[in-house]
Amino acid sequence: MKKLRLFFTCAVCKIAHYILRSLGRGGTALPGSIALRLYPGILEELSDGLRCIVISGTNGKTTTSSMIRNMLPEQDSSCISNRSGANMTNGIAASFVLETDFFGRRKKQKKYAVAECDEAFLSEVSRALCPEIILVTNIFRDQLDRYGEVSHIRDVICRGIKAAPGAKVCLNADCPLTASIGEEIPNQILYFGVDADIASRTEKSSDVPRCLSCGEMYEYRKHTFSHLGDWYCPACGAHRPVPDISVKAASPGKDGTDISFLCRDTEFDARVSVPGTYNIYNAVSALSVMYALGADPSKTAERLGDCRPPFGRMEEFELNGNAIKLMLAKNPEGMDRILEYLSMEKDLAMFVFALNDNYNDGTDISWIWDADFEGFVSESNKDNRYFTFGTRKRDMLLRLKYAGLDTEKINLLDGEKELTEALSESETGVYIAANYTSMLNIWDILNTIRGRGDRTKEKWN
Amino acid sequence: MELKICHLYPDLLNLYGDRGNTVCMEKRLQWRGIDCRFTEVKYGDNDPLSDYDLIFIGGGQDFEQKLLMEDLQRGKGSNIKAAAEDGKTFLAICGGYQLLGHYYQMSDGTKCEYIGAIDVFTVAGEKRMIGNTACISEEAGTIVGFENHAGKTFLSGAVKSLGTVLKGSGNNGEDGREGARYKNVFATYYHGPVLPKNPELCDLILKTALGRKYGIFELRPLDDSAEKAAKEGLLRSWKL
Repeated sequence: MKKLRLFFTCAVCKIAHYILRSLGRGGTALPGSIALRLYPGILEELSDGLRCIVISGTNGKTTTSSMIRNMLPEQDSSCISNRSGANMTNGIAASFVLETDFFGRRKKQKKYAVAECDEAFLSEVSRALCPEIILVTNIFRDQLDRYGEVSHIRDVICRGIKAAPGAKVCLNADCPLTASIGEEIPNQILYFGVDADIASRTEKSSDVPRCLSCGEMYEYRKHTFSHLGDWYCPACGAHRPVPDISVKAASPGKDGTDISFLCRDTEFDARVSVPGTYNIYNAVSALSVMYALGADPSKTAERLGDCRPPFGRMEEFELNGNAIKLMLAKNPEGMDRILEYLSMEKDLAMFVFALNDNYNDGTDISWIWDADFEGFVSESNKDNRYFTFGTRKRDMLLRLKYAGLDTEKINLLDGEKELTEALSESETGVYIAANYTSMLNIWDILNTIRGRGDRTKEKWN
Repeated sequence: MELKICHLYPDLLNLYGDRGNTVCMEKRLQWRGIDCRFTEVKYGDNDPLSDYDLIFIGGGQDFEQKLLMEDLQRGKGSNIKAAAEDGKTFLAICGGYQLLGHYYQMSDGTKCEYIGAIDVFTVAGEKRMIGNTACISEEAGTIVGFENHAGKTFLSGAVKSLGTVLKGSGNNGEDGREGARYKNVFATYYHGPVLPKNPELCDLILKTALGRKYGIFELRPLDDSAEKAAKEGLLRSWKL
C-alpha cells in the first residue's frame, strides 16, 4: 500500500512538473506541494540512507551549496540538490522526487543530499531530512515584511537546529547573531570566520549593534563588513568564538580571490574562481562543511578554483563580444558587496539596476536606501551609462539621483523590448544587479537574446 | 544659512530604509546651497536638544524597546517633550512616532509609558498592518509610503492627523487617519522611506525648521520630475 502511494505520488509530481515545463513555465513549488500533500513523509522516505547537508542563513545559500556540491568526492553527480534555489519545503521535496524514478528509487551514485533551505522552513526540513550537517551562513536583515526582525530570524533558525539534535552545525563566528546560536544548542559545532583584511569601503549601521546578552554596544578588533568581524562585548565579555577554520589572507580580484586558509594548525592556499568579497565567506563556510564531513580541507580546497557561479549569481553571458554579468542583489548587504565589486570596474561600462516588488521579492523596497550607492556613484566613471528596470524602476532611479547621479544619465527601461535593445546595442561590458524576480526575468531575456533556447531545465532543476 | 539636524537614536531606531529620509533632507538642502549638519544622539547621550533645528526619529525593532525605555526615563524623554513643546521641528517615523505619545498598551493590558510629547496613544493590534500606503494631506498633497506596524495609534486633544487614508491602514485601520501633526511635529507610520517620493512633505518640514530659525522662509523650487514620476507611477499601479 505504502509503495503504491509512493508510486502514485512520484508519478503525479513528475507529470505536474513535466506539464508545467512544456507550458514554458518553470517552477518546482507546485509539484513539490502536490507531493507533500499526497505523501507527507516523502522527504523522510526519499532521503533515507543519504548523507544530508542543509544550508540556511540570509545570504550566500545558493552559491555555497554549489561550492559544496563541487567539492564532494564525486562532485555534482553524487548528490540530490535543489540547484535552482527553490528552497522552501516544497522546492526541496520536488528536487528529491525529480531525481528518483517512479518508484522513488534513486540512482546508485547518489550518496549525498545538499539542500539549501529558507530560514522559515528549517524546522520542517531538519525534522524530515535528519541532516548530518547544518550550515548557517549569516543573519542579516532581509525582507522585513516577510521574515520580521533579525532577532526573530535567529530564533527561528535556532529552533530549526534543535529539530536535528544529531547534526553537526557549522556557524559563522564573525556574525554575533549566528554565533550566539552556538550557546543554545546541544549539537557539535564548527565555527568558521575571516581574519583577513577585507574591510568594506564604508562603515554603516549594523543590523545588530548591541550585545544580545547584555545590551552594551559591541566592539570590534577587526571588521569585515556590516556586523561581521572579530566582535566582543566590553561589558559582559561575550566574544567571537575561535574559528576552527578561517581565512588568514585574501586578495580579491575581478575574476576571483586568492585565499590563505588556516584549519586548526594547517595553513594552505587556494583560489576561489567566483569574485566578490562575500564569496570569501561562502568559500570558508563551504570548506567548514567539508571538514565536518571528514574531508581534508587542504585537499578539497583546490576545487574552489573551478566552481562556476550558480545561475543569476555573478553569471556571465557574452553578447557581441562584450561580457554581461548578471548579479542577484536582494538586500542591503548583498547590494553593498555587489556595488563594491562594480567599483572595481574602471573601464567604461553599462550598469542596469533592476527592482521588482512582487511577493517573492518582498513588497517593501525601502532597503535600497540602506545600500551604499553614494560610494558607488562617487567612484564610478563619468561616462558610464545607467539604466533601471522592473516594477520599481522609478524608485531605483530616485535612489541613484539622491546618491549623486545626474538624472539625465539614467534611462528608464520600460519593458523587455527596451532592455533587449539596450543590451544588444551596448559597446561596453554590462553589469546587471537585480533582485529575485527581476533576475529571473532578465535571465530569460538574456538566454532568448543569445538564442540558447530552452534552459528551463537548468533553471528549475 | 545652516540647519542643524539631530538624528535621534540611530543606534536603536534604524529600521531599514529610513536612512533615505536623512539622505533626502541633506540633498534637498544642499541643492539649494543651504548647509546642514547631522548629529547622532544615541542611547546614553543626555545633552538637551535645544541646539538643534530639526529632530529626526526613525522606526525601530521590538527587541530594542527595553533599552529605549531605560534611556527615555533617564532624562531624554523630558528633553524631547520640551523640544516639541518649544516648537522644534520633528519628523518621527513608526516606532519614533509611537514614543512621542503617552503610552503603548500591550495585548495583555500592561502599559509601556512613553513621553507624552503629543496627545496620542498606541494599543497593540491583533494583526500586523503591512503594505503599500497612500494618504492625502492638506499641507503636503498626496503622500505615498509603506507601512509595517502592529500598534494602533489614536489621536486626541489638539493633535491633528497628517492625512486621510487613501490606501492601507494608517494609524489604526479604523478611523481613516494617518500620522499626526502637533505644533511643528510631523509623525507618520510611513516607511518607504517617506521623504524621497514625497518631496512636498520633505520641503514642508525643511521650511518649517528654517522658518523657525530665520523667520519666514521660501525654498527655491527644484526639478522634482523624477520624484513626481515615481509617486504617480505608484498611484497609477494602485489605481488611485
